[in-house]
Amino acid sequence: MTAGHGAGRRVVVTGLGAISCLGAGVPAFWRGLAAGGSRPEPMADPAARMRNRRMYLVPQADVPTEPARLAHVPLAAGPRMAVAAAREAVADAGLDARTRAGLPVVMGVEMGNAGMHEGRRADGPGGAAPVGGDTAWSPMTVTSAAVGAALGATGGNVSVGNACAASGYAAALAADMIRSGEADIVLTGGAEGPTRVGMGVFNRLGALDSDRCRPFDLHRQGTVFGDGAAMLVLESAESAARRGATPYAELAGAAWSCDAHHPTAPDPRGTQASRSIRQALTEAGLTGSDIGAVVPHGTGTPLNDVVESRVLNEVFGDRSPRLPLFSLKAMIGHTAGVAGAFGCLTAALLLHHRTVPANAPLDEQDPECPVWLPQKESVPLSGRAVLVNSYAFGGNNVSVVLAGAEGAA
Amino acid sequence: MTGLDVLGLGVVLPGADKPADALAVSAAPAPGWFDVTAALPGRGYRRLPAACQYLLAAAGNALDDAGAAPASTPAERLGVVVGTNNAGMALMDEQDRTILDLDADGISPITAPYFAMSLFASRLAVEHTIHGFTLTTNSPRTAGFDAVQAGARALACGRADLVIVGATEETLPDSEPGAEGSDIGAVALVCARATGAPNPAAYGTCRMRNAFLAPGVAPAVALDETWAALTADGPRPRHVHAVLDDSPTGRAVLDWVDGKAAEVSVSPAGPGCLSPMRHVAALLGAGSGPDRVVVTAAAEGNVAFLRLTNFPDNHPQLHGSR
Repeated sequence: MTAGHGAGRRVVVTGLGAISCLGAGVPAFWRGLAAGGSRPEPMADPAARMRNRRMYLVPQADVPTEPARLAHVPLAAGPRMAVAAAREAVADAGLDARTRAGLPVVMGVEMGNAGMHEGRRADGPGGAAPVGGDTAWSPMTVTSAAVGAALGATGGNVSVGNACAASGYAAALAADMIRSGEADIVLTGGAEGPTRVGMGVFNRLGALDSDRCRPFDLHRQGTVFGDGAAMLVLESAESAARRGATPYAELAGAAWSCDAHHPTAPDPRGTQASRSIRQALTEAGLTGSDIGAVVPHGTGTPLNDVVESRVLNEVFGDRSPRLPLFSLKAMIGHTAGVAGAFGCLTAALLLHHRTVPANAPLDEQDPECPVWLPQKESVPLSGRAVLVNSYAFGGNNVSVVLAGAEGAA
Repeated sequence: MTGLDVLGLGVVLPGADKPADALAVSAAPAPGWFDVTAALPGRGYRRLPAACQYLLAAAGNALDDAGAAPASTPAERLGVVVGTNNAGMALMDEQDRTILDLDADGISPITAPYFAMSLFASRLAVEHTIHGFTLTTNSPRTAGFDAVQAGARALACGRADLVIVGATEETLPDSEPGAEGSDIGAVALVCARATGAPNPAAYGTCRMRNAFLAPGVAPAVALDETWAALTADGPRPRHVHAVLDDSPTGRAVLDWVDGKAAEVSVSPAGPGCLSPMRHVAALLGAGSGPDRVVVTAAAEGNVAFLRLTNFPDNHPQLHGSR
């Protein structure tokens, strides 16, 4: 691996934006994490004929109603939330109008505007759902373009779709663009709204928990989805220093791998997942002893949690019992294509606040998942960096290391 | 600027047997135009979604065409980037209608995971034991070109040594507005990092740049800057192939492109990201020629330029030694 700040420019996080089941805005997100997160509720789709319809849903009052369209395409909740979170992130970063105008946007989105297509199928032309009113093609993944249009950003606009790891890959791509000198500032993130097809498929595969999302719990039955949007402004350290911006964190390293094993199940050996963690550390110029906390992929799917626990124990060895994990999905659900961006955003906040909030309580930890999930009370963040894992169908693995921004500029 | 040297080409397109014919596809493919049992002999292929079959077959052809490089590259140094817009749309439509008409238990478990369109690239990784990475791009219409750029960047950043770049599409279901004329088939390129010098094992080099036409922003500024970045080095491109639809974005790009090269040609772009990639395959497969640019755009604002620099006819396929 030749990328990384040793071979290019350092990348810092200077702006954050979020909409989640915990509310609109990053302050609401952080307060919600400190308060123990949210609970799932049934998705509001009467056409969703399936046993389990529970999700960690963005409160309806926090789902923006604008922009209603991009060109001829009616926009569902996912792209609209992306626009709102993007506006928050660029405002948080203090980007002026000229900078926003040239901003590249790189988002990780799998289902994108699927909610519009599903509404059209359920209601048909003339129904309650937006129908487009024309005969033109409406692509499904228009979220990144909706953000570009809303910000008036004429830089390159790219959408990647690596399923539940999509926005983790997008963050790595955005960082590569900055390190290689293609761009000084890149807006990255992800956004997904509720989708009937996604829920239906996971019902069919028996991969949903009927109670709540409880990764690493002995009684977990599967995952529980959530929706929302998470956006990050990534910037070269030089650019941030020039603007006088105060970074939340440094995106110090990221690495990818692929199991090439099975369409839906992780390789139980975890060989490639371990490799991506080790390479991300190498790219960051850090070792395992520098990691003070982990935001795991941790979906609540039985095999995923066992394999990730095994991988973390292998990589961190004797430190594992003292390495706190912050199990984000237990608080906001599995936000699918947004999960990687939410993980990075959360890691930046852990570093910014130098604390790891208490995890959502476990009923009984799975002995096959020997990781430390601090309960009841927060713990101080003791290391220099936080590791974020994001995994997906097809064996796609991305690990991102965020570090304190001190000395990055 | 980072670029890719194309070592191998493969296509699966209705009416086109080889890359050089990739622009002569059938407007209305006959039923059964793709014979999966002939293209992908063996078990486990027949029940895959069609766009997955196309991608596997096109990538297999491209790998065969690339000579020894893929086999000599360690699995952890191989990557895959696939662009698609509609590969899983027909399946998702079927799954959703099953939920609406019956319930989710009626969904076929075999193809169920392919509602996530990144599974198409992941299946290719399984097929060829690729551990470096798989990445799916899905921007409207520019996804194939985005795949080229992402592949080039990944190699430049050291994330792999060799990458399969592809695009695959399946006809939209009839219920989707604008389904007529949908892209169908797949194109695959096996690529190494471009060095800037003619590569005797390669057809040529691809370099990509993108822009976004935000509403209310004069297109000339964004497109001028992108064009300047793409053409700053090397000879002025002789020909611009514009692959566009009739959207306001498409018309703006068409107006802008006028006069940018000695020759400008325009082809219609249907739903999907494959038509621009067919141009890339055809122009590379036809052998040496002047520098050319293919530009494409989507109604949503995405615009992408891909510059092709064909090498002298060194590739074994072009001078007949393979």
